[in-house]
Amino acid sequence: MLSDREVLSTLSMVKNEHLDVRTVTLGVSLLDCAHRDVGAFVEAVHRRIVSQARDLVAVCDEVGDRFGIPVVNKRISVSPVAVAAAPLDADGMLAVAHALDAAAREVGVDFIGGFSALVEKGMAKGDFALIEAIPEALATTERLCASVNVATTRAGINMDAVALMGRTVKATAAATAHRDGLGCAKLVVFANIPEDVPFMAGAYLGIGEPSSVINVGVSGPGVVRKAVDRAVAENPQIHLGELAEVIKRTAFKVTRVGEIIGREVARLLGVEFGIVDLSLAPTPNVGDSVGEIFQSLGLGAIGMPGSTAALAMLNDAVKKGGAFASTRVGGLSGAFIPVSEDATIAAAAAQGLLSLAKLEAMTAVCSVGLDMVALPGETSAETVAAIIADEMAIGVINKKTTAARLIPVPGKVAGERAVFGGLLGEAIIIPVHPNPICEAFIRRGGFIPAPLQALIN
Amino acid sequence: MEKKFAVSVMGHDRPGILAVVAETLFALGCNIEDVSQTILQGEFAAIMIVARPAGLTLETAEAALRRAVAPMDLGVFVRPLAGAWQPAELGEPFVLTTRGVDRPGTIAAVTRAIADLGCNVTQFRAVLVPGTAAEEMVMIFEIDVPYGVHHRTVRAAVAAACQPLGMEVSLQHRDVFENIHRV
Repeated sequence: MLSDREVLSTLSMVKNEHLDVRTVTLGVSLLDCAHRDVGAFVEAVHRRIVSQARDLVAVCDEVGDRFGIPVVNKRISVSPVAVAAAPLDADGMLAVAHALDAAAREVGVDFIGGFSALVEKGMAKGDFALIEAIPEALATTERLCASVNVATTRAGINMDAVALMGRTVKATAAATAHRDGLGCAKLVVFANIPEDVPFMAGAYLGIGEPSSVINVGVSGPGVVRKAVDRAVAENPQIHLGELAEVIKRTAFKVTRVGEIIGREVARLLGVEFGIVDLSLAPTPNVGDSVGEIFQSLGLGAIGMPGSTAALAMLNDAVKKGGAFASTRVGGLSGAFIPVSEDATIAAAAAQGLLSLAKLEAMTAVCSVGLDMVALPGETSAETVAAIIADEMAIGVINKKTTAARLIPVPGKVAGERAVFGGLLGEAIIIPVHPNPICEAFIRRGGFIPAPLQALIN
Repeated sequence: MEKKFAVSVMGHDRPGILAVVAETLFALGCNIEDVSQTILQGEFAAIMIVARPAGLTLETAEAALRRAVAPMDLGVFVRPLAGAWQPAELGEPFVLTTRGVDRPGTIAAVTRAIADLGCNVTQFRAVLVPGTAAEEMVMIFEIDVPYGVHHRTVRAAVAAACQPLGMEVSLQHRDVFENIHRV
C-alpha cells in the first residue's frame, strides 16, 4: 500500500512544481548511411530516421500519459554529420541539413541534433565542410541543431577551431539577423562534449554509442525550489548542509521519474535504453526557474556574491542524488544557467546583477557553460572567439563539459532586448568588455596544449 | 486442505480489543494468518484470516468470539473461506486520485464509474489536504485496470463522473509512485 504522503507529494510535484520529463531523445546512428553521393546519402538518412523515429512521439505521449508525467519534448540526435558525411562538401552538408530538418518535421520532433563536428585535435575535410555550412544550414532550417567540440582535457584547445567558430557564430547571427540571430541559439561550441547528452542544442549521438538508443533528460528546478522552500519554512535556521541533503533527495526522485519513463519508451520502441540526464533545465515559465532556487537559498538574485558557491552546492547535490537513483546517469547532469531560457536569470541580467564575468565564473561549477547569452551585435568575431576560448579553458582544466551558446544580436546594443521565442525565451543583451583587445591572441591560432590533468595513464 | 475462516470485528475503539479476540482464538487452537485493522473517528474495525483445527466448527468459534467481546459492545462476523486464495491477475495497477470539496455522492460517483469498467479497488482512503480548507479532500483509490481496458478510458469515465461535482481527477500507473519514493 502506498502512503498518503507518497501519493500527495507526487501529485504536487506534477501539478504544482512542473515535474516533467523535459526530453526523450532518440539517438539514431547515421554511420551505415555513409555514401559519396549526396543524393544517396540523404535518401538513406531520411529512410533511417523516419523508420526509427516514426512512433517516437506517439509512444512518448502514451507512456507519459500512463505514468501521469508529461514528456514535454521528443527529439532526435544523430551521429556527427561531419563524420557520417565526411566526403561531402559544404553544399552537400547543406543538403544533409535540409534532409535532417525534413525528417524531424515528418516524425513530429521539435529538434534534431547532430549537425556536429569533433575538432579538438584537428579538422578534416568533412569538418571544414560542415562548419562552413552551419550559418546557412541554421538559417534555412527550423529544427536543426549544430555543435562543434573544439577542446578536450585530453587534447587541449584547438585555437584554430575556436577562431573559426567565432567567425561562424557571427556569420550565423548575420544569416538570421531578422530574428535577433536566432540561428546562434541552435549552435553550441563545446569542450568535453558528452556523447549521450539528450538536451538541445548540444545533443548528438557519439561514435561509441549503439545504433539506436533512448536517452532521457529530466529537469525539475521547480520541484527543487519547492523542496528548499518547504525545508526553510519548517526550519528557518536550516543550514546549507541540510539543504544540500534536501536537494539531493529531490534530485533522486526526479531522476527516478526519468528512468522509469525512459526504460518504458525504449522497451516499446524496441531500442536500447541509454542514460538519464538529470539537469535542472529551466524554461521561461514562472516556477520553472533555476534562478528562483538561488533566492530560496537566501540570495537576493542569481549573480549576487555567493552565487558561485550556491551553484556549486546545487550542482553537486543534483549529481549525487541522480547518481544514487540510477546506474545510467549521463549527459550533463547538473544545473543549467541559460540566461534567456530562465525568466529569473534573464531578469537578473536585465537589472545588471549578472555580468558576463560572473556568468563565466559560475560556469566553472555548473554543468554546462555560457548558455543563451545575448551579446551586442558589434561584438567582433575575435572577441566571440576569445570568450569561447575562456569558456573552453574552464572545461579543459576542470575536466568537465563547458559550452558556449552566444548570440551576438545583429543591430542591437547592450541593454536592448533580444527575443528568440518559445523555449528559447528572451533576454537583455549583456555588455562585453568595453575595449576588448584580443584579436592578436586569437589570430595566433594553433593549439593550447593539453594540461597535466590529461596525463592520467 | 486446511480449514480457514474470516473474522471481522467492529465497534467503538478501546484498549484490549485485539487482545481479547486473539486470546479467544488461541484458546480455540486457531492460528491468525493475516490481519488488517483501522480506526476511523473512534470506530475500530478489523478483519482476520484464521486457520482452525479440524475439530472446531465455525459455529463454535463464532459463539466463543461473541461471548468474549460482548462486554465490549462489539460486533463479530464470521464466514468460511471458499478455497485456497490466489492473487488475482486482474490487470495493471493504477492510482486514481480525486480532489475537491467533500460532499455526499462523490464516492458513489467515482466507484460506479470504475466498477462499470471492471476495475477492482484494492486500497481506498480519503485524506484532508494539508494547508487547504478543512473540506478539501483527496480520495486515493489503488485500482487494478483490467487488461484490455485503456487507462484513458478509465480516466475519461471518472472525469465525466467527477466533473458535475467539481472534482479534479488524476490517474497514474502505480509504478511511478514506488519508483519516486522507494529505494
